[in-house]
Amino acid sequence: MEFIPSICPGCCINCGLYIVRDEDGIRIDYRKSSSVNEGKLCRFGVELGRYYSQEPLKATVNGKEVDFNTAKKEALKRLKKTDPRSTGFLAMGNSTNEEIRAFKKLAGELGIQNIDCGLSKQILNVPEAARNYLTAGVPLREIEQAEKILLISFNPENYPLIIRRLLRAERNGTELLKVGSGEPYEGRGAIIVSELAPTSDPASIRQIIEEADDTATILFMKPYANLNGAVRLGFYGFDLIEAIRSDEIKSLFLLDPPTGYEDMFHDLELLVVQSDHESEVTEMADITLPSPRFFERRGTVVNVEGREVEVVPQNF
Amino acid sequence: MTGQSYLAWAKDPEIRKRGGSGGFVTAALIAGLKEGIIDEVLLVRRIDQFESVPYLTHDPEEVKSASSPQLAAPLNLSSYIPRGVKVAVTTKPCDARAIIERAKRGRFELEDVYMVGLNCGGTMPPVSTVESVRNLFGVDPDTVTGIEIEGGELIFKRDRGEDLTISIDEAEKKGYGRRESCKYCNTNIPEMADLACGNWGVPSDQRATFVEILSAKGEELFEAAKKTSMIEFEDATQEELEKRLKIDRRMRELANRRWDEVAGVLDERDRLAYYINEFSRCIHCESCKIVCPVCVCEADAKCLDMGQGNNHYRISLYNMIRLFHLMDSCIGCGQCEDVCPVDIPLTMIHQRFERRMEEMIGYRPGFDLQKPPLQKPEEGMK
Repeated sequence: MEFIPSICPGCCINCGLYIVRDEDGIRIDYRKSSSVNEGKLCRFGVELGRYYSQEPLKATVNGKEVDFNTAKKEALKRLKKTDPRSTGFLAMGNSTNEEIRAFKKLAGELGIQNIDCGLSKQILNVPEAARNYLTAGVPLREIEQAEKILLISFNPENYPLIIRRLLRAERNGTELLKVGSGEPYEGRGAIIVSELAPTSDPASIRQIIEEADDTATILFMKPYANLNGAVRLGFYGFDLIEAIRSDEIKSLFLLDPPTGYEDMFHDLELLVVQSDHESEVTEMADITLPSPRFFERRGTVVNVEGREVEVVPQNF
Repeated sequence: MTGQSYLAWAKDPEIRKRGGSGGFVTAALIAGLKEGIIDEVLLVRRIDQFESVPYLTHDPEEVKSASSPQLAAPLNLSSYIPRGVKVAVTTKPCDARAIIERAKRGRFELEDVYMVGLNCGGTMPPVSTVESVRNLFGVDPDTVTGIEIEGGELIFKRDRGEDLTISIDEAEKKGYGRRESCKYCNTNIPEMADLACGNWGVPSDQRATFVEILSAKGEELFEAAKKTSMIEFEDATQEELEKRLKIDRRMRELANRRWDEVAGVLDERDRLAYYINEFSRCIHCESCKIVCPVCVCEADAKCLDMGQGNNHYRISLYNMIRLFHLMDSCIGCGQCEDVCPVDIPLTMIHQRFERRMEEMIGYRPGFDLQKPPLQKPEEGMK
């Protein structure tokens, strides 16, 4: 029975939990000392053991199993042959800061400028000087003690661990208002909570930042483990999702793909996927490269509070 | 020997010093391994003062270096008992009650489990305990080396700098201190375990463990400790016995008073409205079921079959079935409430049902191997 402390890769809250490995396989346990979630988990976190028990990805080239180095060399060889203008590097936030940094560096070395974490469309619509608002984060205790909270085009059910903070805030007398897209609001002194996801309307994101004055605090909740880190590391610049769909992109290196985008990748001429498990996307890939499972990685992410946290605490 | 009480302590000065109260528990566990009475010991591995994880070992040296119980690491160890081996485990009363309930439900043989019970005045949620050190004393929580509740005082021990002390009442008025379920738990001495150990009744100038032998398995461990010369002991005096019981009585009175306060928040004329409101927040993550030590149903559980979140009952069938299932079995350990992501006071609600049932039918879960009266024996159940 081995207890490995880790964080949930389901969203930017990065709830603390334990991965427990024993003769029955992998399951999760509740890490009550984790400050962001105090041991509580949503259904995704509860079922994480099943996710981690998926078939690990093997290194392959054209569907044939090879050793990792062979697959890596072949991937580099083929990526070097592509036209950088129609090649992209996509990492949608399921990777650590260290992995994203290395991924960005590799793209640079190959002369590929089309990099994206799935949020380029939204980020590029925000003036550069204001982009720090996108990943600032808010200590969750501050939500409980806020005078006013505005939920702008935000459904807390997508981020269940935020619900208890909002309930506690209400009990503490916080004025809690839901605001629909385009509706007027008074944001002075408020904590504004909204969502920044690949499907978010870029104009709404920009409007939230522009309309917030200096007294307001903005929290953009995000799906996946580390979109905060990807944005902070500047892993954006080109709307790859749109470009893949419009066939502008012919070759793609996809790092730790989330589910829900499978339909995009069918028509690519070259698809290299690095992932920790087999999936519909890895089946489409020309080359696959295995990653360690998330809880086996040594690295950091940026959580909902804007803090850099280790995937596996080193003091454990 | 069963029913006898002693003051006992480890002969090894290092164990005696490290032990919470004289090191008897560590000495008895090591003796149990050395004498082959047990194969494994389930204990907790301390990460820091606010975090521990369960740990199984057969190595006496590892037992020796294990930590004394941690107040700010509210685990229930019953879920980690291995099947098919003789194992000793240190138990708070709620651990011991859970072990008995799990044994009834066929998870393991109770004869294989040696419960070394520890008196318990409650455990504390780790995150709010960390915050209490920072907010009540303005001190870095990393400087804390131990946490104790002694004589109504909550004490944070530190190697460097003075200990930090606040009355437990005051800490709890400020929103810190023990878990809510511990405040109204009125089972402080683990009388259902094989041994009940602690420092209640021990003269303040003596570093010893008050040990009550409660079963033949308890006798075995005590005898092993004697035989291996791991301990020294003396009979507990009448005065010490009475002192221990007085502390227990006082704790139970406080717990019962707290229960009256907590249970009194419900409007007796409209309890249903309260339950509907509280359960309306449920997101059906099923964590309360997963951590519930007395629930051993797995993927085929009725509550999961019938309790999808999208049913249109005012309380989801998931919660309704759990209420029914636990009304004669909830031991009030608080694990469900600890992990509920939407802060439903689950333990209080389940205890409201269970305590009423207890009054009506005279059955108290987790004290013996009697079957829960409302549940038909299922396959695999004794």
